[in-house]
Amino acid sequence: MAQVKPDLRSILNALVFIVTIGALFVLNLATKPPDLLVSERRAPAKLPAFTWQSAASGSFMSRFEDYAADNFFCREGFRSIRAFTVFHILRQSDKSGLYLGLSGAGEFKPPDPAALRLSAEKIRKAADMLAGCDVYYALIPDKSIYAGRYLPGFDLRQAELILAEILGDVPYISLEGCLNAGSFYRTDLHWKQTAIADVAAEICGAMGAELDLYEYIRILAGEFKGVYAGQLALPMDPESMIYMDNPFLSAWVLNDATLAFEECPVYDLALFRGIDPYDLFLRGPQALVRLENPYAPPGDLYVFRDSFGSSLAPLLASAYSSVTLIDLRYIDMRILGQYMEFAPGADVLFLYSSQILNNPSVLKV
Amino acid sequence: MESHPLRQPLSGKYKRSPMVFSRIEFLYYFLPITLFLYFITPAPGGSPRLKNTILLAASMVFYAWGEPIYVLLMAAQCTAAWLFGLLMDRYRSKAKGVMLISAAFSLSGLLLFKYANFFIVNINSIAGLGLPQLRAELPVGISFYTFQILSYTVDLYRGKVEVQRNLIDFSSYVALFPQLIAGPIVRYSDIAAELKSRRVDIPGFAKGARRFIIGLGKKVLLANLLGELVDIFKHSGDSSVLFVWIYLVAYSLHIYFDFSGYSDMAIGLGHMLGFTFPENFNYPYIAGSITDFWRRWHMTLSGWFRDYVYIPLGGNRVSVGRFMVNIMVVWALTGFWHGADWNFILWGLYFGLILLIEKHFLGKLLDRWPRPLRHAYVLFVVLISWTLFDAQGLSEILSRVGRVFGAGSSGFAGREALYYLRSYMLPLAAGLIGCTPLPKLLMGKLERAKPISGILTFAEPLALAALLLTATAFIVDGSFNPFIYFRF
Repeated sequence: MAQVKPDLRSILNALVFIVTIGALFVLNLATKPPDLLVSERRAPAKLPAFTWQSAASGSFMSRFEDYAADNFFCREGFRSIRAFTVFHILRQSDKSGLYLGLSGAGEFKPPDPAALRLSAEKIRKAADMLAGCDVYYALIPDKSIYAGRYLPGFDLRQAELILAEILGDVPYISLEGCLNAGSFYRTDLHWKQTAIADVAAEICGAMGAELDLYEYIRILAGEFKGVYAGQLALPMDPESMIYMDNPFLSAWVLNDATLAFEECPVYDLALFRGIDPYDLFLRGPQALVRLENPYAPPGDLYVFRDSFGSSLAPLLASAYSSVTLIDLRYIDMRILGQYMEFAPGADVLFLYSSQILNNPSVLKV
Repeated sequence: MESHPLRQPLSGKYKRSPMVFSRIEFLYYFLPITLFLYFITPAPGGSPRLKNTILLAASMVFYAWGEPIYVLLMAAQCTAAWLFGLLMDRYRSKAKGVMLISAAFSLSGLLLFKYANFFIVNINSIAGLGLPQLRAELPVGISFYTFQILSYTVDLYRGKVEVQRNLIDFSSYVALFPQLIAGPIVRYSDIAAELKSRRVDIPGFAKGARRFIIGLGKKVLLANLLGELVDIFKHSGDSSVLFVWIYLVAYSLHIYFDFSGYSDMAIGLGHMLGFTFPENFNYPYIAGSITDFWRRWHMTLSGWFRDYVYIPLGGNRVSVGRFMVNIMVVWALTGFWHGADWNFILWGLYFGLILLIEKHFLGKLLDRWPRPLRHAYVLFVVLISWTLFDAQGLSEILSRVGRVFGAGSSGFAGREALYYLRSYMLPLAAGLIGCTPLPKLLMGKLERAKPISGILTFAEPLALAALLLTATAFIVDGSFNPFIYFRF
């Protein structure tokens, strides 16, 4: 075998490979893992301890793979390279379902008919437990339908038809016309509280209540980037989160530990600076929250809701002296009576976004 | 033939996935450590035995990563085949018997872990029995390493190779991590000399690195993206004719880039380590006939079946009837090798039938057809074959094939089909161009153009660096990363 003299290109090609895998190997070992993956709002996987037992069971390998993926050197930078390649070089319309449209960034997920039916059946079952109340339901349209172009996302019409099959005699409040592309944060899933007065008015009107937002003032909480900014990994400008404050509102939340209601801020600015800024509104995910407004017309409203309801409820509280939010993801319908009672003749609204209706297993009914 | 129980994912406490080349733990942990140890290990007197030992140890770690227990099965298979080889060499008069026992032992693992449940399910179905199924997962790469062991055993019996007296060298051949779990199917004769003596130098390493990066790009940037499109089709409610054609094209490109990308990476790693593995693909989609297609697609598998099954059955030196039977047997087995399910057998028989038709009727006619027509014929036959390959049952096969021709479709073009056609236009176009020799021809022309050739000295390493980093970005950000050919 004759010795082949390497040419410059061979040397450079070999160097490219060696330096890249070698440098990233060293950097992966040398770099301190982050405490938090900000874009994914979770802690990264930890380096697993090696034991023969964990190796034999495969748990070491499985956990090491998670660790290697989560703690990769310059992870966010690499994620941005991928996003740039997908949108600007390959000119794709979305990145694994994440899109950029008129309504900003979003994720399209088509309705799952079986899931929607199951959700509707759960709502039906819950509604049947509320004898003596006036029950309504509304579906929060996914922001993808306002994206300005066809996206194979949530088909509102199909979802409405499926829900109506099972909830036919429960009055439906359509919110489609109350929203537009500007109603949602460009970087987040949620709607803006400042853009849903029409939604609140539509709901109140359908239930025979009168919305009056005269007392509300707009206050800037600060700037934030929503969940899709992190998921897309593209440069996106921060957005202003403004809330509608009413000095006469008070909020009471069910404490998980003491199982008693305790007063809390309607808008908690400390939580705005946390992992999920939308938790500003009524402390985000909570099983039971009650809003009281002594200057509103007497009346009780119960809203079975997800996170969208947190920002809507303070507006609805201008039309009802008591608004109770119930999140069936965190409390089972069957034990609800231990913590609250439904006032006879009260209005009840089931208000869910497409994400929840497409994932009925989270609803505890 | 509805969804087969074997296709149901086996539940386990931990996800067990093999350490494939396009994963972080391989690229940025296993490979740098292995290459470092390999290159600092001396080769006293030019003998690479110490390096072989390092490779064997690394290969065991590589295999055990996804299959902690089954590494023992592979070790047992290696040791048994090695011992039977020694016996065959020592007792030449009884070599045939030893060869048959060795082959039976090697095949027993494959039959037990890959095919036993297929037979049990079908026997239960036909005879109305309730025989219990085996609760064992398919050892990754068992089809590949079994065939490699068999090639040694049979070639040793035929006197084509010399007996390997060193267990480490023999096990290094079988377990060599670059080709362990998805080929190419390397015969012992391909690398016997390199196990004894091989040169590891910069040009070889650079050639391997270049091939590896290109293969990684094919896998991560094309195969995975097109695989996403295939997945979208399968979960879509759009049943238009256009969408099923998009699916067919996407799947055809996906499986080609997935497998040929893996083969490129394996061959590239081989070069880096001083081995020359056989080529596995030669632009199959430009074939002018199905006979030609199978000379270009998974060449090491078709070559294996030709030399170890077809020719021993008599090849084409038999009566027409026997020849037809031989062909159908070989192709049924080829299909069965890809998976223990009826659709794979049907897929194999489909190609067997078409090869017979080409041999006896269509072949001469094809020669007179204009080239575009011949290519169209091949692509149509191959595209339809992938519906058999990728289907989850007979009803799905019939439904998809029907929709290709408009039967049962919701119209010509649905909104989703148009959306995804637009979204995947560039990846599809890149795939269509990339599966032809055009990029290679263009590169050859640039190489020959003097001023450009000089620029390439720096442009090529830069392009490779960009490709490696972009592929890494997709790996870091994505979880959609399975290789198709592990199942085989």
